[in-house]
Amino acid sequence: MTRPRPRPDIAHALARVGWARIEHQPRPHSVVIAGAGIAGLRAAERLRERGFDGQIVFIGEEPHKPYNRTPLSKQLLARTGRLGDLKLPVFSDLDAVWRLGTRALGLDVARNRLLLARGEEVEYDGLVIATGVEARHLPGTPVWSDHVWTLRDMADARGLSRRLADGARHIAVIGTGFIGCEIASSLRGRGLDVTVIGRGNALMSSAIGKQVGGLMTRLHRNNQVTLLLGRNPVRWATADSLTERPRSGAGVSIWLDDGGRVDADVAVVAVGALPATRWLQGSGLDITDGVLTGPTTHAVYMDGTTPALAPSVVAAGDVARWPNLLFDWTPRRVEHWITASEHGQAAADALLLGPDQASAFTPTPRFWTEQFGVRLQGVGRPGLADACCLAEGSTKALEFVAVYTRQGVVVGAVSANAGARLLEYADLIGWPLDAASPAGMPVSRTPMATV
Amino acid sequence: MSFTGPVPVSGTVTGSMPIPTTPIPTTGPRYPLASQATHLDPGPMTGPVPTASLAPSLGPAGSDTGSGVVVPSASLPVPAERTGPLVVGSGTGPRPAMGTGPLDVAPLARLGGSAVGRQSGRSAFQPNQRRRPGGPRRRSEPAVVSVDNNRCHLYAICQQEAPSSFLLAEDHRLYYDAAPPSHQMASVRQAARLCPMQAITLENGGR
Repeated sequence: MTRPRPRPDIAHALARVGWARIEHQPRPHSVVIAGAGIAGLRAAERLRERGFDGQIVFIGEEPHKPYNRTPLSKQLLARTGRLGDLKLPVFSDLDAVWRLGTRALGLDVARNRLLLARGEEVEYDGLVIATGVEARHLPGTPVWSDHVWTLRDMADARGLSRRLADGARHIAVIGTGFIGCEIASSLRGRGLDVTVIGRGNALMSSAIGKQVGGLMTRLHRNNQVTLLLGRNPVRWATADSLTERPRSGAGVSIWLDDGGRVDADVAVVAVGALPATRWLQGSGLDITDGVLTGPTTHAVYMDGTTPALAPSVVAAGDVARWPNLLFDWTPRRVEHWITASEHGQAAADALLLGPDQASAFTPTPRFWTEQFGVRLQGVGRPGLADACCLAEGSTKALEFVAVYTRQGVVVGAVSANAGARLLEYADLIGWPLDAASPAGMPVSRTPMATV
Repeated sequence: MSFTGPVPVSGTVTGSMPIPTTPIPTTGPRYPLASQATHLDPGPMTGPVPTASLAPSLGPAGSDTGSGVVVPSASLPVPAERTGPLVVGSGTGPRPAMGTGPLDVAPLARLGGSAVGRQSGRSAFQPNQRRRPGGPRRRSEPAVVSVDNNRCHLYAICQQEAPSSFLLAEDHRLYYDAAPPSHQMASVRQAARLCPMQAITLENGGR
């Protein structure tokens, strides 16, 4: 006995239904990550950890997959590290599409599209803005010169080290932030002569205050770094310039606003960084000093005249300006590597959960630097403080913990060579210093002397 | 806590830094010995908290308790319920490590379409089995943690991230659990990610 064959029209109808089902499969969701740095990488990793099954597309301007930038000014410049130090661990299969060497040119928030070169548009269901920062320059700096460098990415590090290997003896570093000081320490460790030119009166004082900054200033001075503080470069001359060349055989001459002149073979400009947000102009996002986001990392855009949170756009890393509710509601950018990793992870969670369910991203900022063998480590925002006191240890031996308060409330702590002792102070953030501290730990209130 | 008997310390790292000879003077409770590592987590607040002195900084926004009151910035679209007290969880020791499994809360305001929650019995999206060759995760091979002696500079970030697996002790050595239990692996992975010197490596630790 044979089953009756279905009539041809019914067979066709069934086939059509089958095709329709295939064609109307929901499109796989796609998350586009603008910026292939540490924040973008950690966002992608967290998306996969959460079981996100769709497509992940990286739009990265550098021709490299994400790498660890922190050794560029430390181990690599000091020639104590290897190129392998730039590798980053990834603990899940990203299965991402890497559009490297590609610059995002624009963003259409209403249509969920990212604009690339040659009119290409990339549609997204979720966008992570993690384009990071670009090195800042002082006006009038001959950035094109082969004797003037910044240190932000791998290309900079390669070019600078090639230049240094070319028989450079005397390096001028402009800028007294973390990067400038690390460059000075790394190069001094190689036996080169280093002159640091900076606006402030103490090294790193905007980040760690003038007291600890003063101690680090003394450390640099004791290690034969020439410090020209409180001075700004006003005029430049480089050996490859067509108009103005240094008189001596120096590669670069820098005139300062106090009338002095610094002759060096190479100058490194490390005067901070600016968020890479030019491509977001006209997108409706608030990009004054970074992409403004809410506490949940969702970007703020102007919906007509009222600001609203974009549910499908998050920003993470150095480029994002967000209110860390651990301190207050003022949105700020944080340029710390550890925070960028955590920020990327939080942004991925926020993208999956939406602005209503995502929790506020309230990390304790953590940073570290190592200069002349002193491991300086900080938590919180010492830069916000109005007072700084020595909690324990001795400043003479450069082994101490300093606690920073704003209106009596602890906002941060910095330690030198103290390792795990800093952890207990991290828990004090948000608490008044004069009350019994949460850990039951009496904190010395000795005001820190300015060196 | 997983440490019940002797601490499964199987590695020791001394930093390559010149070890300071004079220890930092003690002012507060020190970390317990490695053999008592169960007490590692700094306890919650002991003793009454003087609420009067806390009020200026931690009180709800809008209460006129002083200049420390923090109010939401007018330019931010802040939901009304977020204007309550600020985050105060920072006073109670290290944050619990965030789980990193598939979310089982109603996810995906935009990405997953429907907001199907736990109550309705089905999550809005499923973890991807296709990405794990061989089907679901196999737990047979325990992860092996190792710390590079030459790289570690004793920043103690790992202890912050995974306090039950890493301990930077008073002798300026890092003690770590080379075979952490599987429920600690999420925080151990985070410690490896955030290590400033990238000194922590995991074998079989990925997934």
